[in-house]
Amino acid sequence: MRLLRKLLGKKKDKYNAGRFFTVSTTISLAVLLIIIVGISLAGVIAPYDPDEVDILNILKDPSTKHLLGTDKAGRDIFSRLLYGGRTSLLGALGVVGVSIVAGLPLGLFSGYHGGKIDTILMRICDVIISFPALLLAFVFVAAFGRSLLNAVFALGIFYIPMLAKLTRSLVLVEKGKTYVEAAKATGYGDFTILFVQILPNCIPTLLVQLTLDVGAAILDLAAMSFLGLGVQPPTSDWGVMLEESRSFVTSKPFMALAPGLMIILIVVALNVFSDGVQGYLDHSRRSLPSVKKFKKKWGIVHE
Amino acid sequence: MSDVLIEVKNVKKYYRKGKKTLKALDQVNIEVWDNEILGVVGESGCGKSTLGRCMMNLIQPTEGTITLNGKDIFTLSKTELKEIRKKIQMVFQNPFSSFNPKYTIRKNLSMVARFYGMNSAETSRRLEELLEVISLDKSVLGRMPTELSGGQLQRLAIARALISRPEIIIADEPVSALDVSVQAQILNLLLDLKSNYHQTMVFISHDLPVVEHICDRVVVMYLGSVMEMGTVDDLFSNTAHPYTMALLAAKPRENPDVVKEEAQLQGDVPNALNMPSGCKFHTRCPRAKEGLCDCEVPALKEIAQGHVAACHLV
Repeated sequence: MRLLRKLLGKKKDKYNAGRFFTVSTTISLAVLLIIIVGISLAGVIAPYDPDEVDILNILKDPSTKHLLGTDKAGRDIFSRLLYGGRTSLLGALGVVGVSIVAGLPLGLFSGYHGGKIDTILMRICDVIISFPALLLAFVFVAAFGRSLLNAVFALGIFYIPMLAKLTRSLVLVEKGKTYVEAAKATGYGDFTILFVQILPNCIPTLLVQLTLDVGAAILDLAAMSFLGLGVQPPTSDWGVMLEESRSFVTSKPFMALAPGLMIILIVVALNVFSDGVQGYLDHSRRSLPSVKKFKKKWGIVHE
Repeated sequence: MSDVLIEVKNVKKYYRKGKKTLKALDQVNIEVWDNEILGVVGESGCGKSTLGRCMMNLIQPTEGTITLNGKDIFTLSKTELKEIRKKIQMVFQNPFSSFNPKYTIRKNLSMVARFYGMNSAETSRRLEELLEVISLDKSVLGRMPTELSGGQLQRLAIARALISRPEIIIADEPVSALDVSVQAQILNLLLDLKSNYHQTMVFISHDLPVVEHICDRVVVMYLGSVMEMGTVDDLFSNTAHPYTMALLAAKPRENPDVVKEEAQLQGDVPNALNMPSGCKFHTRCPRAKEGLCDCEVPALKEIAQGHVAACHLV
């Protein structure tokens, strides 16, 4: 309850709590919630089995029977969209999750420690980045077998160095600031300094990168699925649906538009939402009260 | 004579740069006495801050020892080090970045208090006490560091340094980032701390009038070495070392038309990677004697009780 009031910015003594629910964050949050509820309740909402082939009704236009029409195998696009969201989003979150788990500590450590270890770690990152993502994924999948999980890991590994490099550069900036030196002078251990002092100051920037990564991961997973390395048919996935509809773009635009728009929608909503979160976390960007309130509440201290 | 609190003995700090070594600190011997404000002055790059950071155990010196109450601060176990950290605290030059911008002032300060083992009741009591000392309103606690002025932040930084009731505070140019009216408040606060709480301080500065105003003893440094050391009165009225004279001549005067001819400094500070032979100051010294000053390194000579200078000519 307290958190909610804080988010709404109505808590009285929290003059600098700022407001979280601006118009843009509210809308983007609503979109995200609708999508998440939709795909998690796919079993209830979806009118058809997403993998059910119906040869008699292929490539149908949208109708009351099939809300978004059917694809080349007669499968209901709406149902496939709902189920496909699960694979797409979970896959993308998995990719980003892998990169966070490995990339974040790597970047933090590398930037903070510096010296030879930093150089070595960053050169390894350079090597990974210099490989084309798909080539790396080919090798990985060839070694471990085709499956969505392996594709997620392969892409996740490819995302690690980029996140690590970003984190490292942010740490390098923060490391030079006096508050870090003050923390050292206080006697905090390296772990506390890194995770309690430095990391919170890096989060706003990291958040932007991570939401962009989610969008990119959806598309990358789609590309892998297209090559047959990711999602295996008949499982539905937005990327797979997009690729399948390639040849029908002019005749049956809904087939491509439905998954395409969903990807755009979720990426844009995520970005707007993360921007809102970032604005909320950054107190200097919060809307401040009027001068009158300011004087009344803050009791300005005269120098 | 008072007790020695910190003793800096033969401390050297060398940085390697390719084949050359940069001597940031070269054979520094300093004593900090109980209940005094020791000023450390010198031009930029003379090793003032390096010395301060060595005393804080933020930098390990290449050679030499620094002892607090007779205990070497570099050969301590982790728990001992934590105890020592409580006793030596630091105030930094830039007040605007010396607090974590993500946390409120309360959080910033109470994290330090909690780290030093106070419980939450003790912490809030201590913070209230300290706000009284630095004469700031309680409302600043709830604010973010970016919302406060430099003067307020620097006072809070002093409060942070006081949380653990340290025996000594090392203030690294605490007023040079502030404007003059605010400087006075900070300096008066430091003087109050000394008179009311017998707080020992090391005051690192390049501002001579400020040093004259608040310090009891002064150390003059040049290129990593101590040039002259003595009480404020000795140093400012019976100046012995030509470098100190030059510094004093450069400080703002009431009548700027009267120029002390002899003491004008020529040229820049020599490159620290390429230290001059003999007396480090001879390249700029108006009184340098060839064959003596450029060959032999002068030792610190006692001129009067507690007043030493490193010059061949005194």
